[in-house]
Amino acid sequence: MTHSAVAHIPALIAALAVNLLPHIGWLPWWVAGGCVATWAILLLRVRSGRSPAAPRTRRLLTLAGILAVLVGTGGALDRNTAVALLWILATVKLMEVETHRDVVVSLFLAYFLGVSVVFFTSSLMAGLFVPVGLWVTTAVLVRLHEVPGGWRRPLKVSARLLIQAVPIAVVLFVFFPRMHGGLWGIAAEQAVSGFSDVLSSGTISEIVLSREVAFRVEFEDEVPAIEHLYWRGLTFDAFDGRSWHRSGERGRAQPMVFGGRPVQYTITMEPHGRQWLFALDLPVEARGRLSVYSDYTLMKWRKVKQNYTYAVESRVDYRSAGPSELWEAGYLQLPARGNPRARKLAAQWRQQAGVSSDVVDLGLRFFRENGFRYTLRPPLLGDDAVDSLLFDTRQGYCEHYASTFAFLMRAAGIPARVVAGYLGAEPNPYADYWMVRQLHAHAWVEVWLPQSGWTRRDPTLAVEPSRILQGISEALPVEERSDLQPFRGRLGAVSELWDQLQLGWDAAENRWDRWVMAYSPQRQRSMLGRMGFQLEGAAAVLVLLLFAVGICFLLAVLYRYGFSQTREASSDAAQKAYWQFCARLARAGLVRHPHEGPLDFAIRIGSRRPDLSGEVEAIIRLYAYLRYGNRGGRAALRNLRSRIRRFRPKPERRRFFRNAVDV
Amino acid sequence: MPTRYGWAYLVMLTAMLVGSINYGNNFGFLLTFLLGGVGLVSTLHTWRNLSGVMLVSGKALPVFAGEPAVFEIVVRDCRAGGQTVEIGLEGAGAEFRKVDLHADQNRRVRLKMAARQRGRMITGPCVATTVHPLGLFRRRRCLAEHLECLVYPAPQRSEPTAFAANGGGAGSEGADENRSGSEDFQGLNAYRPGDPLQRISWKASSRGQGLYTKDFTGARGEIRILAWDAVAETDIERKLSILCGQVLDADRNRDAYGLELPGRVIAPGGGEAHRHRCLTALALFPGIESS
Repeated sequence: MTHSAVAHIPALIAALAVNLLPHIGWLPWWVAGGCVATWAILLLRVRSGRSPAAPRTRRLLTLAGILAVLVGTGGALDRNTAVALLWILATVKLMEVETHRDVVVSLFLAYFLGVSVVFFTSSLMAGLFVPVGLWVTTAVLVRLHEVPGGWRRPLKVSARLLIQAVPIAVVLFVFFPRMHGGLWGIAAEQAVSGFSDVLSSGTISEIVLSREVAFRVEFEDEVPAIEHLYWRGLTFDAFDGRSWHRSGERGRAQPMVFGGRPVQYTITMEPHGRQWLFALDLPVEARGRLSVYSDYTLMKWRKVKQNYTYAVESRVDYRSAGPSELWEAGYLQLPARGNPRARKLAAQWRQQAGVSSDVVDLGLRFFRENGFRYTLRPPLLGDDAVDSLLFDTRQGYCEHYASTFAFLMRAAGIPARVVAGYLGAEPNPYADYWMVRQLHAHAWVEVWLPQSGWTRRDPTLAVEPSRILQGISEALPVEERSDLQPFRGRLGAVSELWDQLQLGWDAAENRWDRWVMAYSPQRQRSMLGRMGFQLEGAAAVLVLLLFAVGICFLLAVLYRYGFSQTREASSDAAQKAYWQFCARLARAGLVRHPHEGPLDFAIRIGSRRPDLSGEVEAIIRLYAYLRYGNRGGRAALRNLRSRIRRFRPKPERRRFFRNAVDV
Repeated sequence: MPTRYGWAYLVMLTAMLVGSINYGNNFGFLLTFLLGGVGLVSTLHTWRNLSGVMLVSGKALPVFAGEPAVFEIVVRDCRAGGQTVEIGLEGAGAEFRKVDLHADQNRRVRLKMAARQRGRMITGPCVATTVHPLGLFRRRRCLAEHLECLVYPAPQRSEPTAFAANGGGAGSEGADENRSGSEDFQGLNAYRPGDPLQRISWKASSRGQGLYTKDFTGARGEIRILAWDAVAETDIERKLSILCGQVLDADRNRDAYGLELPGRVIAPGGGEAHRHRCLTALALFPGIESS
């Protein structure tokens, strides 16, 4: 042991600390804090030369740690508990380090802990950081076997090992057969803002305050015009006077007629813990095991707890093909009482216009022409919420307008429902996808017209037309824009830069997600197929895998040995060549004596092994000429080197047995 | 080739792999494969590390049978250096020493091996092993096919009266200016520890007068011929041992001495080289292990 084992403890602490960092997001603070505190004390003790810890202290700490973890996690026996306990174990093991074996065991624990982060996160940040932890851990392992020295060399060697391991890792990753259908693996449940199944006043104005990305869209062909970017998610059909609910009934779908071209796209949904998925109005077909319901929404069987990717085809130009059954009762439902003024207004419109579509137009005109204001901070509405909004306050956000408009339409005898989702999208300049953020959340209305069936009519557009073309921040009054972007005004250019950085990071993370995390069996098959491997079955892929690894290995070996020595000064090179020559002779049993001159050596060899004397003499003469005559230059050096390289003496047949051993 | 830590590493990787498969976690796959790649690559590094280690020169000073032979070798790492290797001789009683090899530095290593019999001792291969960088694999490389050491017979002290021939023995050839024909007895001095035993006046001591050393004039002392025949023993090895003892005594005494062996005669002389010559002749005397 070139260092004593205890001297490695600070290095071990460094390795563990670096591996701890990615865990901080989920590890209970007392576990992390306890570990760090223990390490600090250990470090002080080791530095001051005292022994790491008494056995009793160790046992006490172990017990305390285990109890703390069990109590803290409520005794649940799951991954979190297991990994937390592993941290305790690693810390305790550190205190017990006495031999080489202990150090190696601690390092293997560090490796395990470093990798265990995959259970808890799958972000790009972790993807970048965990290899750093592995690098440090490997460097400590290298340091165990090095001459005592600093940190530079072990870190360099470790980096070289990791970098050279990357091609092998990539090949293994691509070719190792994926069995499961799951894409993303288990990650921790993250709370993401989003819709719930109740829509009430203030729902959307709260969602909108987050800049988080709700989902990302990749269009296969052209992107539809901005006024078509309605993303449909939920429909609400039951109104109780203040909020809208989903009754669960949907009625039957109606046949549709489409114009224009289909839009095909892929959405990657961020986890929101619910089952609904979003699609461009109007989704026609969803690939995979998703079906489009009769209200043209998409649902997943299980809740979206991790990123979920799905492909949809939509049509933006649609109308119904003809009359069909409609669940009228549901879509005309209104509470028995409440909002008398609104009902009267609706009845008025009914009388004025004959046709349903005219009623709708009257309604929209009402919103357009009566000084309604689009705002995130409307005054509170009274008991008759609809009446308050329409006649008193005349301020609200999209959910208010959608709600009141739907009410009015129902009161006028036109079936209507509220649709919630998103409106608009933001392109990412660094990649070819669009981001739909929570701040794009929106609610609008669909009314049933005999000619065109369910038709979208968005009252918000009547109130604030700029919403659709210029986005939310432009549509809102100036004083409210900072609600959406709190830091913008204050930081100016820096926040611009920050935005760009965030977009860039988002693009990078998206790439990471798609190429690494979402590498599913289907993807693997298609990728291998594109490379020319039309293979089925896991066995075939395994064979391929071994083949690929073998090739990689061979390449690496060739790389290692194909490289020759570096160029050096002539005399030094000759000396080194001579040493190599001596080494070869040593391997054959002819060891040069320490101060034996080359010529004497040659004579000695000549007498011992006449069969070698010719070549040996030639080489030595050349060497002496180069070294002591100090002439000859590159050609002679090359000659010397090549002769030595070709010189491979065989050891003589042993005539004496080793007589140092008692037979 | 894998060390036990290598196997443990493999077990750890397998556990990670199984976990990744079980949870279908691609990130886990990636990290597991990265570590697996590191393990594979470290094999190559371990292999390559020893390729540059070479034995530049080596020598062993002659020892007497029964003493440990000390091989001093000079080792060098002609590659990047900075690793720790273990160097040793293979064979029973071999010890391996950990050696730190810095770059471009000749490093002297002492290896010991017990020398049991006289003669030309030939050891097993001198090897270097390394587990650098990660300790997962061990490579063994032969540095020298064997090392040699000359082993003199173990010296055996005999009675002072055993050597008979004194000055003018038959066949002593080669006049030597150190030869003084007859000593001039000068007198007795009190015995001092360290005085050669053969100069002690036994007569005086047998008379109960104590121990006295005879003092002679004359430059270096006597010329002695140590003859094979003069040793009263039948066993070859014992004879050799006795002769060896005699040589050592004579040498310590600073006497001139010559050696008479069947088939080899060494003229009287003195000094290091002469002693070595005589002892070598005794060591290499054909005996049991002749071919």
